[in-house]
Amino acid sequence: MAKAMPLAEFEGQVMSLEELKAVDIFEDVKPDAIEKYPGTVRKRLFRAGDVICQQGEGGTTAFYIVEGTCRIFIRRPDEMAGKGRGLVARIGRALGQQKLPSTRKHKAEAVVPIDASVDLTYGRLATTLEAGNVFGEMSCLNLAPRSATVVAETDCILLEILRNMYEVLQRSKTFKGRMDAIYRERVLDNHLKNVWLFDGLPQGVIDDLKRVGELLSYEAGKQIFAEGDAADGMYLIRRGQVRVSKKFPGGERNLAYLTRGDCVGEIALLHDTPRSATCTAADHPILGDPGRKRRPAQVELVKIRTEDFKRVIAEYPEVRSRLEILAERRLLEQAEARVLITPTVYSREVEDLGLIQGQNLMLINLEKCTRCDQCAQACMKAHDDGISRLIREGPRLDKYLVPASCRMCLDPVCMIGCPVGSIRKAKDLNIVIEDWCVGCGVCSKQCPYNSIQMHTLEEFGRHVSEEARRVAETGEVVEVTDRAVVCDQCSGLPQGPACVYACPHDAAMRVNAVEFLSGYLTSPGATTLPSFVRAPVEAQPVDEGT
Amino acid sequence: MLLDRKHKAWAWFTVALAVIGALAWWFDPEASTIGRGGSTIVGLTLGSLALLFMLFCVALSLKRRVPHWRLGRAQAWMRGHIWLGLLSVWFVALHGAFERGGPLTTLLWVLIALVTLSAVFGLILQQFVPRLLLHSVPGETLAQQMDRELEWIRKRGEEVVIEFCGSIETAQPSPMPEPPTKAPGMPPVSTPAHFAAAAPAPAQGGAAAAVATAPPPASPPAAAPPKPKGPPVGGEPLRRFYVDYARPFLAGEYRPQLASPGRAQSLEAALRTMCPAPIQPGIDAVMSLCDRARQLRRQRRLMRILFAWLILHIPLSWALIVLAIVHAVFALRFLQR
Amino acid sequence: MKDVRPLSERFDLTYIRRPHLADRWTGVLTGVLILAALAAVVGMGVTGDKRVYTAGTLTHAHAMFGNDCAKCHESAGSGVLAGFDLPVRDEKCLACHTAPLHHPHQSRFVGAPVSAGGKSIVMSSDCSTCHIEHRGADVRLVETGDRSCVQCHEDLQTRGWTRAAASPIPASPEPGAPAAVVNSVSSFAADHPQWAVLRESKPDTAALLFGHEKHMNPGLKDGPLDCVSCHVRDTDGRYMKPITFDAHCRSCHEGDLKNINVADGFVPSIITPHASVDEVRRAIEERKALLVAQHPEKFVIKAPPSGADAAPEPAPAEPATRSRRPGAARPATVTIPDFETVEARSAWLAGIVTESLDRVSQACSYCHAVEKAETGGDGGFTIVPTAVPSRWLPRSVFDHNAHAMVRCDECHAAGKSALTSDVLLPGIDSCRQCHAPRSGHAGGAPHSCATCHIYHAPMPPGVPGRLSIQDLHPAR
Repeated sequence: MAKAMPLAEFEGQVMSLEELKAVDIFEDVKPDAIEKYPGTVRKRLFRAGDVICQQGEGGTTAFYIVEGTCRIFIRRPDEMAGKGRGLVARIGRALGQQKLPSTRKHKAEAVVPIDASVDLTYGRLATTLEAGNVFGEMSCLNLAPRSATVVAETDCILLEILRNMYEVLQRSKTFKGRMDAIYRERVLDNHLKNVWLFDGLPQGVIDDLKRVGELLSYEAGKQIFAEGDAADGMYLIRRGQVRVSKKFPGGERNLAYLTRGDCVGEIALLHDTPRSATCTAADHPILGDPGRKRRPAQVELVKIRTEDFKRVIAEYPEVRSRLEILAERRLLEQAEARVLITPTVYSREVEDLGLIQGQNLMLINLEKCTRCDQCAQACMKAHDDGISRLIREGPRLDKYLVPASCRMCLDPVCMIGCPVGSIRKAKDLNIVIEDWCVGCGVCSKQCPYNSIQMHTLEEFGRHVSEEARRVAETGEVVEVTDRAVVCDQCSGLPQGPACVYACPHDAAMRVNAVEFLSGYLTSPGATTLPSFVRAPVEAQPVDEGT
Repeated sequence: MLLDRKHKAWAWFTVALAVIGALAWWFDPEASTIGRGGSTIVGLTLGSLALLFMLFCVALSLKRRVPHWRLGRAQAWMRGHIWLGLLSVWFVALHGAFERGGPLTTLLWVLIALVTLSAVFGLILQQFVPRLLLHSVPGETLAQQMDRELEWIRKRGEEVVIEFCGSIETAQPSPMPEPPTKAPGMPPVSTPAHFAAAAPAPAQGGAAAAVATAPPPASPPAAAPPKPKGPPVGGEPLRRFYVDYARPFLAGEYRPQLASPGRAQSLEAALRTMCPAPIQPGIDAVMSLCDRARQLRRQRRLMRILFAWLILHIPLSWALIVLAIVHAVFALRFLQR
Repeated sequence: MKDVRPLSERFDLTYIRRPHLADRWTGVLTGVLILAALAAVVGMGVTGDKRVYTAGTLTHAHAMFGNDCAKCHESAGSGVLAGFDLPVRDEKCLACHTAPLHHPHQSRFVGAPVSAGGKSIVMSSDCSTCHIEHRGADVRLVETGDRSCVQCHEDLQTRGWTRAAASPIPASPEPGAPAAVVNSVSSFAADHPQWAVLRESKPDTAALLFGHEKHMNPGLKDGPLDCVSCHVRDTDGRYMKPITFDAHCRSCHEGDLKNINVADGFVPSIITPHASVDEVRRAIEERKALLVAQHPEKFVIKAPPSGADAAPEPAPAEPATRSRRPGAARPATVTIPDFETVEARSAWLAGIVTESLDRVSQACSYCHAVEKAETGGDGGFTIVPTAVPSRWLPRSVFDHNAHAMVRCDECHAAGKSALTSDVLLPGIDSCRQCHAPRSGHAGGAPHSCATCHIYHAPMPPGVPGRLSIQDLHPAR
């Protein structure tokens, strides 16, 4: 038995056992579980208009709304950097020169996952949380920063719950049932619509799919499916992190980390090919307190089986052919993209060098570099937010400097832990950070190589509109926050990475680290590089430009 | 830019054009009537080409404002800048038939000479100064951040000294006399005498001497009840060193004892002999801060050298292009053929 | 000890927006210098100071126009670029200089006529194609370079001769006609023809009996003469002063003049004046008058004695001898007869004039070509004008001063010349010893066309020219 725990100290009224049991979700929680952790659930009373939590601030608790409604929203810097108004910028546009957009446009229905029982959409970044909803779970379990702002619309009664009690609650059937219901009702629709394959499907199809979707739960570390398995359906990620990996000669490599709202294995619905990658339930990182003990995370997925899907689609024949075309195209794209970045030499020993992660590693030859900063200037000017993603500082490899700039890691650990799923891989497999980034800084801390920096909104130039400082629909003026900025490999720029393009002294280069170092390691004095290492990843225009 | 194999094509191209230009100039058909120079067709062509090359060279300055525009790789521009710039000087010499001409053209000559010499000087610097920076400044940082770094170093220095010596300004109470920490028979180290003023006299070959000359201890012996956790004793030499040498050095003043790594090392060795074991990490920290500051200063010097010539080259080349255009306009106005 | 804080704390990440190491100074200086350059140009434009734009120093003669470009440069006045283009205009040169056309039959570089002295004189055109200024203060504009001449004279038939189609260049000269135009000359050293006078072996037409050899012979009485005894450069030093009898011959040849001795013994004789025949006649007449005046009794008409019986007695002869006092007139060798009639007296008087003239003419013919009058019989004669040619190369100029370092006999073979008809002008090969491209120790003297030839024709006689090229050519 656990020894007596000291009373947890935080705001709010301590609730007695009876009071707690009166709350519906604690119905089937065993009383001794409650007594084990005294004071870990507090009643909080808020008046209408009170701010319960702010986007980006630290938090350690989850909230359950007992009574009342709250408004939950995130701030998104709209029109963050705008078009350049100077004469030079106008001439550039007239000549067809482009700046890379720092924000990508999305459909209004695009899902913006937040740390609550409901999600937001890109077009409407606010929603209402009624009684029975939960928010702040990731802050509670993983110490992630608050992903959204919550403001009480009416007078509310909330329960604020610490981690240990929350883990108990998660095992309660009532609680689980409640959460599942909310998910099916309010979130699954959106998630389904955001699967690229289901884009534009009639609402009837979506509704049918909603009904056939199965809610599954995996413990972190468990494999969901393995490469080569027969494919039997697709998975939508409802909660948690999922790691996609693939075998390569010499080892297994992580391709991506997917989060709430993403889908995996969707090709299986139409093609009978075996799984092309392994999918494993992953754990969120614990920030700030590596020694913290906790249970393994539960990853919750929605599975749609192939035969169920086929049955639904059978009633809509015209849809099927369109879907098949889409699927075909997607398969080809993925095959191409994988070919470009597949290393031919890969060894686990060499992987110990952090550099080996770099599929597009930037190196600066310090014997040629005159420290003129043209590379950083070019990076700054090539992006419409006026921020340089390149900082000419970092470890050294013989005569090369490895500056702080995304190196397109083989294992993109930066993607782990984003509370709003805004860090993604784009078409060219470069990392992009969507504009609903809440500035929590998880990705920046995750990246081992200082490649992601947090910038305050004011740095993003003069063009931040007043609207960006207001909340969509609430009319409140709030303060600006930080935003994460990462090198996007200048994908979308025809001439390739601006830093390499603009280096006048032939000092900057972007190489595939494995190729580069394998030649390097076999003959330490070698300075010749394979000719293709400087070729950028073949760029395709990304959405709309500036 | 390093002059390496990749310049071969440009170099040969330049040499070929230079030879062709020279031959055309020498065998100018109008040489015997008008005389070789700017008025003949050959002379006008050479002058126009030289002006075009110079405009291209100046365009580099404009291109740098829009590095993200797709105008060709910066390396190609740089190679072109170097080689076409040199070629333009040769063409100007042919165009002017190696004469001074009038006041305006004489001024143009002077400007060309200054621009070219500064350029060649800068190019030569670029061949070896980056390598010098690479090898002699392992702790190199961004030039614009150097001040922040030095600021941090100063602050850190204060923190370290306070941590190990209690306070910076007031002298520490002197500790118990300790047996000499180094083996007898070691060669005497020359140290500034006042380091040792409040500390036990440095052991110069004999425990007896040390004990005999030590002042009576001011603090109670170690059998006292455990003191509250404070800075370790014996840090006075470090404190004195910091106040007299390290702090001014970190602030930017010149201290010959710290100015070169060799001298700093011998000073460090002396300091280590004067301080007990708990203080050694403090010495490590302070000396490495001094080392870093030295490196940063060296970096600043080298980078100033690497960029100083631009202050001459760029303004003069703009003045040159303006006056060259004026010259072209007026020469064409008064051209007599 | 390194700062191990995260990058965003160590660095101010907006540093890239601030100017780089040298950029501030560079920017300031660039702005300053560009503004200074433009200000200087504009300032000079405002004050009208154009000296800075000159391509090279003007020659001394034109230096006074250094700031007044419009003195020579003016817009040609047509088209879009009218105001921009400022070539040198011929009218500007002709404002001060006269430059008559080189040859009436040239086809190129023919300019406009200018009226001067009541005549219309065609000038040359495109002055600045040959006379190029702005090459330095000590450049001589008249030295235009061979190309200017050779561009036509290398093949005169097709280039530069207007009547090429109609009538070709006359080939060989007719006797007495000026030498034909040579069709092709490209340089002095290579293919300049021999002088016409030597080429055609014309003799010296001076009508004088003179042999240089005799005069320069060491055995000459009173010492041999040398060149400078007679040949003296004129004030400009270019050509020789004309030889005159009084200056150069009289000292030795006075004796050859003979005396006018009309009546030997009666009147003193005088040396024949070296003047025109009329003057000699006048001198003789004057002697004759003196004779009559001094001895009037001899010229009284004596009537024949009356009585025709007596045979006229001859006049008593004067005693053959008479004692002669020194200084006194020689005893007359002429007998003055008695004149019975006036006619006889006139005839006798005329006779002594004729006789004297005759004697004088014999003296004259020692050197001169004497032509006796065919009719008249009064002893009259004419002396053929000597007409010693003073200029042998009429189409070029020569400067003896410039050749002062050369001995006369290095060029003129006078010492061997016995005949007047010898032409002592040295041939072109003599000139080419020095006036040729330098090779070793030979050659090196100027050998361009302009050294000896003047392109522009002289103004017609009596018409004043202004700063004509003749005035300015070093060797007139």
